[in-house]
Amino acid sequence: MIEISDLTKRFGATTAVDGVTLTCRPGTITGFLGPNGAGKSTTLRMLTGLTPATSGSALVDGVPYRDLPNPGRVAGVMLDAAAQHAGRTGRETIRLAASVLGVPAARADAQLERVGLTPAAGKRVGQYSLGMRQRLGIAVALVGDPEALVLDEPANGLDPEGIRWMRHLLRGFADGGGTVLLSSHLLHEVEATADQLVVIGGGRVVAQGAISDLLAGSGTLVRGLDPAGLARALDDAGLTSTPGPDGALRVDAAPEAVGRAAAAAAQVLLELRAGDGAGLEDWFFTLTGDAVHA
Amino acid sequence: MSSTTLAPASTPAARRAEPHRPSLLRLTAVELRKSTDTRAGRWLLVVVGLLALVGLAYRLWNAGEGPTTYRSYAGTALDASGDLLPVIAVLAMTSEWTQRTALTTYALVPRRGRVLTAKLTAVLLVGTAVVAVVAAVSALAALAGALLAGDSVSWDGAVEVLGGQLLSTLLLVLVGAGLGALLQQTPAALITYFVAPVLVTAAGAALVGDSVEWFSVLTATARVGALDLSGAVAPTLTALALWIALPLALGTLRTLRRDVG
Repeated sequence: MIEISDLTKRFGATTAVDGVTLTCRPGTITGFLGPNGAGKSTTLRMLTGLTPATSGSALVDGVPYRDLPNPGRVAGVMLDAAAQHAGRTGRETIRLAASVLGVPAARADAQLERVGLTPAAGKRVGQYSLGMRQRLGIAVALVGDPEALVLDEPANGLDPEGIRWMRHLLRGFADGGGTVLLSSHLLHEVEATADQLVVIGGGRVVAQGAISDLLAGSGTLVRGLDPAGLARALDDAGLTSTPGPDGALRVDAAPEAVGRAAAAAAQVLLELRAGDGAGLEDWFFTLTGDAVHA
Repeated sequence: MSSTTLAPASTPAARRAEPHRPSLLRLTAVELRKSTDTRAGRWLLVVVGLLALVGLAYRLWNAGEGPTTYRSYAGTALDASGDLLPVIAVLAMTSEWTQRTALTTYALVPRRGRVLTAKLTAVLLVGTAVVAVVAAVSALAALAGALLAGDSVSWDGAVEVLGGQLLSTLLLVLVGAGLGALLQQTPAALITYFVAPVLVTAAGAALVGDSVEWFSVLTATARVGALDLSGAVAPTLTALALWIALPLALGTLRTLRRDVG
């Protein structure tokens, strides 16, 4: 559905995006993850014809975005929720988009209802909070009933309820066969939402693949009633552990193995969970830090 | 917030057959809406209207000093409002960049040339509509003035004054559009629109005297407004090319190539 191939952007002597290749299949959510300045927004702007690429290609439904007769009906785009006219009402903003797309105003109003903006629809966008602008942006992206969504930092400015709502919306969209490409610098949010991850740092893709594959082996966090006894039990079972935060232990093994080792030594466990947050962050920083300093 | 699942409705094959690109007519209608659906756009039209009314009020105040002619009423009203009207054209071009709506506009319509064509068409239509409304209100004011003065309205030269004013107004609208397209920033374009023609004409007259007619848009539009280009066709066309065709061409190129971020 979305095929980006060796996409490159140079601004004079600086290479902002360096040979990025990624593919998004229908029914999946791809998280495009990287620190600020890594080249995510530039890549998405090249995908949507807003920035001319230096080289490489970016196809939506097999065709360059600019060659689509009515691109908003194929790929809904939200790159910056703040890029809306402050003096125009929310309702008028989305109705204008609907008009360009050839979609009835009723559908625009329906999208406003879906994102919960109907009460504020008559107010000028200048009076909206960032979260409201974000929701308006999503509504505009959806108004053309597209097969794909291209979103730059969609969770930006949303509170936890909003973030969960967004995740649910995108999941539903993908489950219905849609393709989602979203960029973010929030590791945990992407991990919760996406199926596939593309990690970018310094303009280059540094890791790519299914979330479960990439993040497997990030270990287990375990906390026992008797920390020393637990450590011995793990040792006896041949599992390496290192001290973690608050008296917990980080073990380089799956939770099941850790549980069995503890049970074998009759150790009482207070906490047993997979994929410790700090481990993920370390992995992320290592990947992107190397790329930035390379 | 409501939580609903959303799914794309039709299959890829069906979709590819269906949506046609938005027609120029549709794009123009959208641009017309955009020039009037913002707070700034509406206020601009209100002020243009008020200026015309001030002009007419002045005429009414002096009703009776000389014959009541439609020419004087319409001429004053259109002169009063005509300088501000092209600001609509400037904003149509610049606000996409200053308000950053270009991100949406050019994502929805990647063929930017079509958007520019629609914008130009829209501002010319708005200009024409405003002139028409002011012309109509001027007629009413002239009739009222005739009542006050105790004579009747002389409609002599009505067609000429309206035709001339319409042409010169539309030319200024195009100047505004060109400067807006070129400078792509609202304050800079507005200042340039209001200051540059006067500055160039004054400096030019001081430096080269009468030859200023070759590059003064004020002289050119005044001539067109008076419907009298006798002996000055070449300088008028040159000045118009310099102030309209050139900025529009450069502005179009700039818009087509610009990195939207």
